[in-house]
Amino acid sequence: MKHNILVKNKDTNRTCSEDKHLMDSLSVCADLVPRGCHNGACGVCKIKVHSGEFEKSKMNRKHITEEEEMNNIVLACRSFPRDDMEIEFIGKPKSKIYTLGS
Amino acid sequence: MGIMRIGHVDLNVLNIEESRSYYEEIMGLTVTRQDEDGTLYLKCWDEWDKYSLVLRPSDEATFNRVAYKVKDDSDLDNLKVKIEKYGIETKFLEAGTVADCGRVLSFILPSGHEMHLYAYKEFIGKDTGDTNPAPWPFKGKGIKAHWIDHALLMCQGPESLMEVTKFFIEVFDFTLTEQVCVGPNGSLQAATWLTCSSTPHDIAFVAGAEVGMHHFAFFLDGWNDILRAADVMGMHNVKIDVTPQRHGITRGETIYFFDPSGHRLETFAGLGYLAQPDMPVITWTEDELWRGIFYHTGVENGAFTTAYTLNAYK
Repeated sequence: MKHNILVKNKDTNRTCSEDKHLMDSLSVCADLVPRGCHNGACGVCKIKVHSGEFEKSKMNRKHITEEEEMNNIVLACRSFPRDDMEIEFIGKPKSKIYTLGS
Repeated sequence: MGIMRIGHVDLNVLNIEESRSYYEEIMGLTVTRQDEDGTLYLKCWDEWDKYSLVLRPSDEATFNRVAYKVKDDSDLDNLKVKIEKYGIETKFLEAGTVADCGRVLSFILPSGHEMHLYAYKEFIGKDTGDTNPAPWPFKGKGIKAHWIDHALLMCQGPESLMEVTKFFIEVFDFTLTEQVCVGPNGSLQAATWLTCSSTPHDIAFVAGAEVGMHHFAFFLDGWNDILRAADVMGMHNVKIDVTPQRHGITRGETIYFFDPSGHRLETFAGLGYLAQPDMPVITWTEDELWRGIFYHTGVENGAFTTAYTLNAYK
């Protein structure tokens, strides 16, 4: 089964498969999603799900609180679409601390 | 003699059964101990101590600590004095507190990472034995990683990185092999590579926004093994961060990829070069920084600075 996923912050649609998580499907498009670990540890793919059913695997509590999860704030790399969805990447606020290469 | 090498990496994982399958089937490690709470201890075929990787079932995918092995038990007493003289508290954990290890010296590094030192861990032996051994085990799975080679830890900003680098040199007698220098006249270290053996690095530090673990690396023989490892990753839909490449820094042949909890791993191949305490320090300048990290393209690739595992304890 495939579903239409609207990435609101990029105003871009992409068809995503039920058996892949959103990051694996969406990262095929250049610059549509942030670059991350695709499995939970890094937390860069935090999204707000505005609409649409989906299934989840376990969230990393270092990045997603229980309250956030109840409010459909999740990691895209731990979410599998079951319906057409509208999502928005939240992103981390940019740190003022020097990072190598920044 | 003091510290000999990296002993083990201790991580929290989101799904312990997925992790077991990944490290056994794809990386080729063996589970050598399992605790009642599900914690797994694994070793590579070319290692002789009981384990080099600890995976704990958790609600977090985070970094707990890294352990290094010292040569003699008396090194622990000597290092305790040196660490405390530097101004860092330490405590001894009794033998057996850390699975299958003798007494462990525990402390928090100036960078905020927890570190353990130990002199004894239960012996199992290499899969090829120690009498007339085969060059590699005929049986075995996947990539057949030789051993865990090094870890790269993320420090919060250059000041913290410079402090922990100084600590490793002054207290542990590590040698600085390479550094990235930034800022006015290159006065700030933004990344450092340090050795206690003859390889280019036994630990490395990079400055970032948060304290954590950037990756730990498995050793492979050479470039052909890197290509084969990448093939195995493709067969199993492993998320690859950076495809086979050479690092300018350390000259290592490399792949960056992620485990099922998103911990970044590396397969690191080749000698690099013979590192010795009297070797001149290699410096990479800010404008050639990415040439140092990814030698062929010289540009940022993958999620090198954005994605890494956070420290479990603040």
